[in-house]
Amino acid sequence: MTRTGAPRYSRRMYLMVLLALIGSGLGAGQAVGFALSTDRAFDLHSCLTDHGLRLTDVAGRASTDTLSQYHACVAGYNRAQIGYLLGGAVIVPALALLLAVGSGLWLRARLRRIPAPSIDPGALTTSFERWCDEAELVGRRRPRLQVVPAGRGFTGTRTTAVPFSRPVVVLPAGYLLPGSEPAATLALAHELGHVRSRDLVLAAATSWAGWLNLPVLIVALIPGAFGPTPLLPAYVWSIILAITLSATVFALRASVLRRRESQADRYALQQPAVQQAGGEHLLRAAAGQRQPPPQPGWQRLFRTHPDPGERVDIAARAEPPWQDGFTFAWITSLLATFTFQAFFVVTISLGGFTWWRPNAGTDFTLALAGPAVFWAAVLVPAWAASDRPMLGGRVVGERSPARWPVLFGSAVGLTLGIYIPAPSGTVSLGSELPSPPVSMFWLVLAGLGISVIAGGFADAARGWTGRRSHWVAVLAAVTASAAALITGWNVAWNALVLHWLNGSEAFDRAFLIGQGAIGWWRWTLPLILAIAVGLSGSLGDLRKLWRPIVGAAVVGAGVALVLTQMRIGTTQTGDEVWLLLTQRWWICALAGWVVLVSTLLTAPAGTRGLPAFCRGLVAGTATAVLAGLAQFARDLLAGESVDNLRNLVGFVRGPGWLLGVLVVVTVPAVLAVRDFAGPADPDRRWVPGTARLSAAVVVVTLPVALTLTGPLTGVRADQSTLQRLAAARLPQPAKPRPAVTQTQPTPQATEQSTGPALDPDRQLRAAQADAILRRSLTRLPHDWRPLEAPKIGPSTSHPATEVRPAACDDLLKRLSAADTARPRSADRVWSAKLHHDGLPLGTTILDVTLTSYRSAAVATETLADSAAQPAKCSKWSTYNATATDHRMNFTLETEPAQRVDGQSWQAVLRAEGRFKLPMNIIAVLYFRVIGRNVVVVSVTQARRQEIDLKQLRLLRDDVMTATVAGLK
Amino acid sequence: MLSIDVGGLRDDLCLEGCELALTYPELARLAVETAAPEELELLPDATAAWYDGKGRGGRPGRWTGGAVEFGLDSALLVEVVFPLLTGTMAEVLGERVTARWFARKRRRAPEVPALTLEQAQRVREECLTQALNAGLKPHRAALVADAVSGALLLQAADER
Repeated sequence: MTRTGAPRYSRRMYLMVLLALIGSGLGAGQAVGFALSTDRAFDLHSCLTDHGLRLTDVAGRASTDTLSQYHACVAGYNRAQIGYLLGGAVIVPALALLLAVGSGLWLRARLRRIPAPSIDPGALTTSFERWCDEAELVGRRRPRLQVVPAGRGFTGTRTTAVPFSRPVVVLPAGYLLPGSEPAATLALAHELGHVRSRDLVLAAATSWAGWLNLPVLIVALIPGAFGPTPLLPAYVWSIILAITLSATVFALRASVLRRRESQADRYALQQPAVQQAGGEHLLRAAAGQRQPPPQPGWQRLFRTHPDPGERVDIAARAEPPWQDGFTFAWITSLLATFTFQAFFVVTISLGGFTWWRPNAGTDFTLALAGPAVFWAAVLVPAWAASDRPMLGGRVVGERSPARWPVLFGSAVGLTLGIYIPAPSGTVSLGSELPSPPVSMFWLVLAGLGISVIAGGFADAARGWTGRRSHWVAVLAAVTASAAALITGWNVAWNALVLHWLNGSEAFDRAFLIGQGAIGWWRWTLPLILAIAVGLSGSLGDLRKLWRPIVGAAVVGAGVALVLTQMRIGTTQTGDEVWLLLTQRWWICALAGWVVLVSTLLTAPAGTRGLPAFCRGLVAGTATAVLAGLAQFARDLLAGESVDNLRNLVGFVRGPGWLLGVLVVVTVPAVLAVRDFAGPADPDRRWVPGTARLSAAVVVVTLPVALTLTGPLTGVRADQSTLQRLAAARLPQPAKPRPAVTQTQPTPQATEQSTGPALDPDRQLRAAQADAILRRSLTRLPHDWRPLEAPKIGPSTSHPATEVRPAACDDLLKRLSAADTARPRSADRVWSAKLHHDGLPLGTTILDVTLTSYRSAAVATETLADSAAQPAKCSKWSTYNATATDHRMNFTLETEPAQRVDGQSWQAVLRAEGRFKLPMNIIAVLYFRVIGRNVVVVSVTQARRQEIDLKQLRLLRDDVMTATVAGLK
Repeated sequence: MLSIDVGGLRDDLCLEGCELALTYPELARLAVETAAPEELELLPDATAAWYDGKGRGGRPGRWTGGAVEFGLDSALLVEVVFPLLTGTMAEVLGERVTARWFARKRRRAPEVPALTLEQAQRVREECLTQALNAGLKPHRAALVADAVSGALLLQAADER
């Protein structure tokens, strides 16, 4: 055996397996902590309520006086949670290691008890040792051959290993039969291929990573099984996702192992001893010997070996290493952002430790840092070792497109990773964003831009062929790519969240501009630029670009200067000055962008010279900075630079940052145009002869069009927008309590002002009822969130079981039957929930139900029936399976009716039960009939009682008013 | 009681000329001689393993504890012959659930249980199914099934 064709050794796989195990452990730890800390959570909320605090009142949002009280309240809970999380993160990988070692030891012990075969292996052992020598397997890597006699349960050749000891190759004695030497040679060469590529520990690790998912899954289900009842619906999706994830892990593990088997086959076929014995014919004959038992189609997903009939073809095919393929990219990216979620859970659990947690954004960055480095450290070296450049380009004599499947795989993985809840989480981070398709589109776009940057740096590292210099270049590329991901994901996430909160595109643009001057990531661009310059290796390449750089910089600076002279006299306020300033930044950035794009389209890529992306980035940034410096010089000469240093930094950093934004957003599109609309002839330059003018038109048209239509002109002179921008630069204020202030319109006030112009004869369809209810929920404060299905849908009331006393039982059954029998055209319920802070206790839900009956008389009868209940049955109890005594007690009290134009009644419903902890639920109800329609609004609050009764009523009344207004 | 000459195995198990009930090792030897005579050299090891109770059979899909496998090893009859025979008998005798327990019991008492004619007639079909499931090629599986069922039919007919 020789080193020829040795399969690649993949350390990255071990890293991925380890991170997957840690992520599973964190999830399991959180699940256990979640389920076992209900007592602590109850104490925590009681403590906070006693001090007039809420869980979200963390540092920066609460006064200094209350911080110590806050810390005292949360310390116990946090300590416990951290313990559970860290415990899970340590125990699960440790358990995997123990099981991997234990299973190896178990197999070794089994082998040790097996006697020697009656046939002497003789010459085969000698040959095996020689092949090991030739393959340079020495020390602990040198395998030992054990021939196992027939009938001992070892029907096939296999290799087993225990960490830090020699592998053992087990060969059935059947291979010692006369005429079996060639087959033995092939089987042993295959196993040596596994040993050389260190697949043994990997196989054990992936095996246990897959199997451990099952107990972790069970642990993750604990909160769903034993937690408070309100959590159960939220866990349904978690369970489905966890099961899907487990199956996916097994399928991926099988896929990895199938590839390793093919690589071992390939290695075996390249060995001289195998080739002499028959080579491919030998493998084909061995495949023909085996008659695999029939399997259902879905089981093929979980097979660890390729189909016997296909093994020869697969092994003979020059299969590209999978580390730079689509699957590897998306798995790595998904794992990175999934792990980020797990880390984010840890950081937000450390809410009380404010000395290292200056604001909420720090949590995000801290949680993202490790996974981003992992993402870059796994993908960039693989891409740098790839046969083709990631961003393609014109290599000598051949036009190579960018590797779009890989880049898209990375972008999609980064996005999906935050949409999969951590094993114990009830919601994913992604689900916090509204409109999933739209949010996912923007995240994929950002992910694609970030992946393109990483691909560009990987291409730059490819150009460094020296052993040491290559790894220095790869390290630099990894650093730049990780910084790009942390920055890009932070900004993209914040932009989406703030767009959701503000709903203003002008604000989005202003936010993007402002990000270049705040946060630690304002230093990202200088870092990336320095790395790009460093990877160029020679300033000679860069010097060749001085003409476009200076040319574009002169044009950009000139345009900006003209604009400044035209507008400088018209600026009155500080906001207008700032607006003008940002427009000057944009113009400088656009000058740099033009140079970047022209470099990408015209420069050769890949193996010759500095890769186009890094060269374009350096040239573009140099252009933008030069143009910015010209602006600074203008202000300096005009005497308008008050703070010279700050002004200088601003004119360098501002255009540079905006160029970075343009890179992420536009460079994938530019590359796509190059690949799909460029000249087919590889020897033609992208911009030859007459096409130069049209390319110039394209390059100029885009910035002009964007400038004229608004997206690149910063903010408009809109005072409120500017104020919101200023607010975004400051620490976030504490979220207001979900209370309706007295300044909000009360039902009476609204109706007096608008008049009761209702249509009593209006009968609604379901869609109309949905539209009214949807609008009515928009009246809620911002930390209330409308629930998705299934809480939005037909109103269904489940009759309680085992109602006591019997009089109440009869009454409730009669009322329920009577209501069911009443004909109606629409019966819809919509709900909203107070923002959930992640703790198991406390749920506040608002339900609004709209039922449209056939006639006003029926509607009035319905209301009268319900209003009669308190007089006939004000106290009752029902069966509850999870309560300690299996009973839940209810009390219904009528409130003084506030009669307006229609008939109405209001009530307070209290429910008490004894569960693991006392359960106290209070609901304020409002029934009202409007013509043929009955509206019922209820606000239900469990346990925490964080909103007082008066505020609950105000919320309820406000939604009722909005619903009634919608019925006009 | 059927008495058959099982060649060299008789020397290991009995004195010359003695009459024996058909045993699993004899049945196994018959099957191997018929379907894979080149593997006879390995049969003593397999028989010893079966007597030790260590032979667990070559059923596919067994858990390997994270080891890597070649996956294309030829399916030797001697590796599967004992689990094949005991499994077939367990199925035919209706001992599906306790097949493993019966297999262990057979190690202490290697005689093949007496079958009725109807049961012996079912042996071929069951043996063929199990041989195919164990990875044997169809023609070899058919040879094994024929040999085993023929021997058991003779035994059943003799007892009748």
